Amino acid sequence: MPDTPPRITEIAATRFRGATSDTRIALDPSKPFVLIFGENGTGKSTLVDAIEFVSNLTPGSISDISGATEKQHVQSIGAKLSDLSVELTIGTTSWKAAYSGRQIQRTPADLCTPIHVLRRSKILSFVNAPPAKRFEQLKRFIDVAAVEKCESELAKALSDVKSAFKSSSEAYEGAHTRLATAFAEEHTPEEAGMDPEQWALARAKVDLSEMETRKTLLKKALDTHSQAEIALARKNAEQEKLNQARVSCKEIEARIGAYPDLDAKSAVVLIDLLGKTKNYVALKGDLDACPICAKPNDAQHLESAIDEKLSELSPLVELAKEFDTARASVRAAETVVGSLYRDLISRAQTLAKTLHSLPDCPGVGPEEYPNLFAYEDTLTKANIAETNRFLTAIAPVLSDIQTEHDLLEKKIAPAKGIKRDYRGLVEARSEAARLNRVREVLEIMFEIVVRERRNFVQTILDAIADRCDSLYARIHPGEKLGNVRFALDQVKRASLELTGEFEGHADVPPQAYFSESHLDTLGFCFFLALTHHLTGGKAIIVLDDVFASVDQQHIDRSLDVLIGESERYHQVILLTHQHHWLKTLPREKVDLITLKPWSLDQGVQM
Amino acid sequence: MDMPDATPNSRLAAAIGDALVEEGVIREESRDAYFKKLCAGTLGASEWKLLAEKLAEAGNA
Repeated sequence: MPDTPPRITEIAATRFRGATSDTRIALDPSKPFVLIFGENGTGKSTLVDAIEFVSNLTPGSISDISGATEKQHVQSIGAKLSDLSVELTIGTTSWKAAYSGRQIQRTPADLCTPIHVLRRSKILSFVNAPPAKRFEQLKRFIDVAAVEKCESELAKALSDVKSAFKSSSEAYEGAHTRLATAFAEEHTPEEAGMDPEQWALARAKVDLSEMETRKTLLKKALDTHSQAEIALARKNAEQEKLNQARVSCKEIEARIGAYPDLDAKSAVVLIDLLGKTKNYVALKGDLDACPICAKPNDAQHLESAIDEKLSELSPLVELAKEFDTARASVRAAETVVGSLYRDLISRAQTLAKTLHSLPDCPGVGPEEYPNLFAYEDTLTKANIAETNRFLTAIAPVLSDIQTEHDLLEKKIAPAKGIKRDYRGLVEARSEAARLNRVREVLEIMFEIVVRERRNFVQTILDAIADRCDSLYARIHPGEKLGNVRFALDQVKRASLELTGEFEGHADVPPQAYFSESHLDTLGFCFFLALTHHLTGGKAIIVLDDVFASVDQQHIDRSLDVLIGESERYHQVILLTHQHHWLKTLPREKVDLITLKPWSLDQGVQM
Repeated sequence: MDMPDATPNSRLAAAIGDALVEEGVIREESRDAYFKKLCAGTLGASEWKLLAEKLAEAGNA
């Protein structure tokens, strides 16, 4: 049968729910509409669960039953989970499903056609659900998450640009206010007619480079002078120490000079000589002759004579040590002072050259201070004297330099502020204008994207609603209800409003006014419209007792609708316990399967 | 238009691409590139901004 669409030809179940033994239900593949009739408790739900088990890999209605758990109750009573298996044959191919651990696994993995199951509980959950839950049912038809992500990014770009525009506008306002204040405080009578921006532009054009160059030179002179003063203070402090060391030295020298017939230097030499002689005599032991002139000598007498002389000279020995220490201090201080002089002269030279570079600072050139300008590293009395003279001479000049420097700073700082504010004002205005253009473009883009998304979604919703309404009108002809519409909430994105018409009143919520049977048929029509939109009819539809509260008249019309609709799908399978369906059933068009009463031994049987 | 599968995303992306071209936001030859990015959800804020800056600079849109 090459032209026959994929239709279920057999449902087989073993140890699954009510299928306590091997159940096999054969379906006629030549008829697109199958009606499985069974009194309550014959196993209709087991068959629907079996179809869901294989097609959607879920345990079916067991998950909705209070007190039942999948792992304990999906298998038949007394059976183990591993005993369970379900097989669905579509055309001539069979798909088998069983548990593998906690997962339901199907072999082969891919089913040849989608199978959608509608139970009455699902109808009510759609119609009565809050808008957000209702949206979830429709989400897969209008799932445009990727585009919505791009839309969010576009919204972010727009928000960022608006924020940047605000910052630029604030920067412009800030600069404008500061310039207005500066203008009010600083403009000259000649400038009074100008507006603050014109005035700032004129001020910004003033070249400050000459003033800044001079200010830099003055600052350098002031800094160098300050460093020279520090160097001078350090030199003076060390000079004082040197002077004190020299005085100490002189005092010791005077005390040594108080000894008759022996100056301090000679005494020190003599003491040293006697000490060495004593050591020599002691080393030789019995020295009986002079080692130089060979004249006989009495060593004992010589040693005692040396000791006597050293005793006589011992105060001089201490003084000689003090003298050496004092001399060493003087030399060290001289080195430090010399070094500080070099530092001082070097700084004075830098200061002199800086002042000499100023065009209006006469009297500080190489002519006036030749040694200072020529100084390299050699200390001379001449360059020391010249340095002292220079530092004394420029003291009053530096006071003028400080005054001029402060004056320049007072002029330059506000001028630079005006220049900076004017530049900031121009830049901020330009950036704000640019951002405003970018914002306008982004707003156009955002409008396009949002408009297209809303149109796209609404078109789908309208198509589903139109189809739903058309089916509904066929079941409820001439009744003043229907005109079902869906609309996305524009503020709450994932929210779907459902409205209908009731007795001439438009846009009312159907669940508030429609009867239970009207809501059943509305949900049924919605399901058909939805699945057809999703699959284009390339699907098998299973309806499990969805018309529980519908009367004979509406069942007859629903039957007409179903027979007509079944031609638009691969197959429609309706399960019911209502005898109404059998009364006007056109047997030539419908595959009628009647289930026998269920028993524990036989399970579900046809 | 390269539309391998007609998912809601791809159909909406195509509609947006068409509208952006029609309203002069993107050029005809750029439509496919933007379509692909819209489909993949990869058209980020910086790219939207760059596109808007170019248009603003050119004085279009």
